[in-house]
Amino acid sequence: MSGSYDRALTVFSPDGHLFQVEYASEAVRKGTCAVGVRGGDVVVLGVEKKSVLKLQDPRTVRKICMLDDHVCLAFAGLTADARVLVNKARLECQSHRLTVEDPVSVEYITRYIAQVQQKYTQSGGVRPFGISTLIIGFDSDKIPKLYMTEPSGIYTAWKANAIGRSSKTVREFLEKNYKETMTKEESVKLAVKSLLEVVQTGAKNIEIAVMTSDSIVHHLETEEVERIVAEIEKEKEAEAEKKKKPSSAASTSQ
Amino acid sequence: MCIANKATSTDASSKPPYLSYLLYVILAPSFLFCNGTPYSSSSAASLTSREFPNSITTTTTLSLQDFDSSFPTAPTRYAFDDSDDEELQEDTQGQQSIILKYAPSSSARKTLVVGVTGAGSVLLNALNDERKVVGEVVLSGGDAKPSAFPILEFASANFLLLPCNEAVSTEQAFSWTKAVLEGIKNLERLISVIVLPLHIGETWLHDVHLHFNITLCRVIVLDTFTAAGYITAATHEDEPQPPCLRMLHTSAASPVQNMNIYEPPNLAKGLSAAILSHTEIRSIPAYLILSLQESSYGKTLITDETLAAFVDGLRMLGLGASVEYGVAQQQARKLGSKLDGRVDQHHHRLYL
Repeated sequence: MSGSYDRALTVFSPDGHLFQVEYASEAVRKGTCAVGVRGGDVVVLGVEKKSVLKLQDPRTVRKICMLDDHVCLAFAGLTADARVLVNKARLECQSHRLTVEDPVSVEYITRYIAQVQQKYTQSGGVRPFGISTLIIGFDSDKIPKLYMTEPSGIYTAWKANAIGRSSKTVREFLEKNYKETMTKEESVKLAVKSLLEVVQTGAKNIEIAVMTSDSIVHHLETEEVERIVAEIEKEKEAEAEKKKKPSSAASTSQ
Repeated sequence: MCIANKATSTDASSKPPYLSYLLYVILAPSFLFCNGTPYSSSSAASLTSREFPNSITTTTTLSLQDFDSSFPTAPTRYAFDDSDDEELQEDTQGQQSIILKYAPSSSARKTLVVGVTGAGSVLLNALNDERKVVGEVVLSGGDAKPSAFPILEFASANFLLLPCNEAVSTEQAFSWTKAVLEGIKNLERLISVIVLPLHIGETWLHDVHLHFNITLCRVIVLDTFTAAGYITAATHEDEPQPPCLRMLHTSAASPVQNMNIYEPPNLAKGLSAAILSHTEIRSIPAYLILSLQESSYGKTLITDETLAAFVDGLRMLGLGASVEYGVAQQQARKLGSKLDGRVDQHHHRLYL
């Protein structure tokens, strides 16, 4: 059915599908997981790091990029497409500063990125960007922001979300465990916990970026992430012990 | 290196009075009838729990040769010191054991075909002809979980297949080779003798060992090489393309026509090298068949051409068999993302 309608980007199928755009979402699912969590006065980005090849410089393999001093982006999908889109966004941030003499708002730059992505779903001879992005930042109102863009050009605001591989599992975990007005530690822990649902290898493949209301981004060191993972493991064990105890108490009372 | 054969035995310190006891000899089901079960590649995963009623078990305890790591910069000569406490050092360095269970159908001369982890093991698991599981090599010890390698017998020929479904590390290659090749040759048959006394409550167990020799007339190893690691005088245009076969053989083996030698200065490595070295020293005819393996974005691939080259090579050595390529792809996927060579979504560099 899709065979004749999926080759050209600018052709709808009879049932209203743009197959190339949908295939671009499949490309997003091939990238490793990225999660964003918005707390009370903090916003956290967590990504699953891919293992770097032996001779590779790890600095050139980053999923979290700064668009401006106060805006941070994480992506999932085609690396090269992300590079191009991030460069366009950075240019726009600086252009906005020069033109308007103000830094971009998080929503503005998100809308810009989404517009670029949408443009590439409506032209001939091009293909959609095969990435989804999570954009975090603080505006002058000091309220944390988290947005997501998709290959289709949609952008939406979120309290917490995940993109990339196994994002559905992570999103379900976030839905169960998210609380309003979390502190910085709680937000970071939630981001790490949600990534641990899908990252098999543990702390060494998790990268966390935390942005506070002063718009400073702090990348957690591996040791800090390991400490948080250790705390999470302890809490899990304690919960497992608690669950065992009522049943043993019940059996002794008999 | 300390190798000890461990045989289970219960020593009766006092012989029972001869006339007071009935003697029962319990034999495991006759070793003349092979109880090997039909083998399917899907059953490879369940081999570790399989019982071998005809099992002839040889347990070989190995010690790892290792150098004292507390002085990493010590001169090399210290590594070869004859030390009185050498045995003590071996004991503290971790023991590995290889258990060989084998129920031979006969003591005929056998050719052992070893498939090194990767394309070699995938090929042996995907051969079309009927194979029977007749044994198992279990490598255990240290922190790693035990690895099991099935030993398969071809129904129509005197061939034993040993696909290495899990990787044997370079450090273990020599000890693994020695234990397996020596173990297959010198299997002992254990007959348990239970002596039941007329008086209830007294039992003695005697063990009687019978020697049962398997003759390995040939060893064939299936391994791969990549174009990137292949040193050749050929220009870029003449670079080898799969299917491409190269061969090494021991001096006891006769050369094979129509198969090119793996030219120097190219080297065989790892398990293949260990097996060839072992067989060369012991004058066992052995062949190493190397098939060219393709790669993409740094990951090696197990393609049909690579496997087809193996089939040609085995045919030239007297083992005619065909491959089920669909099964081969499944086996390649089972090997895991590290070894199967498939450029999968977890490792493809296009995506981050």
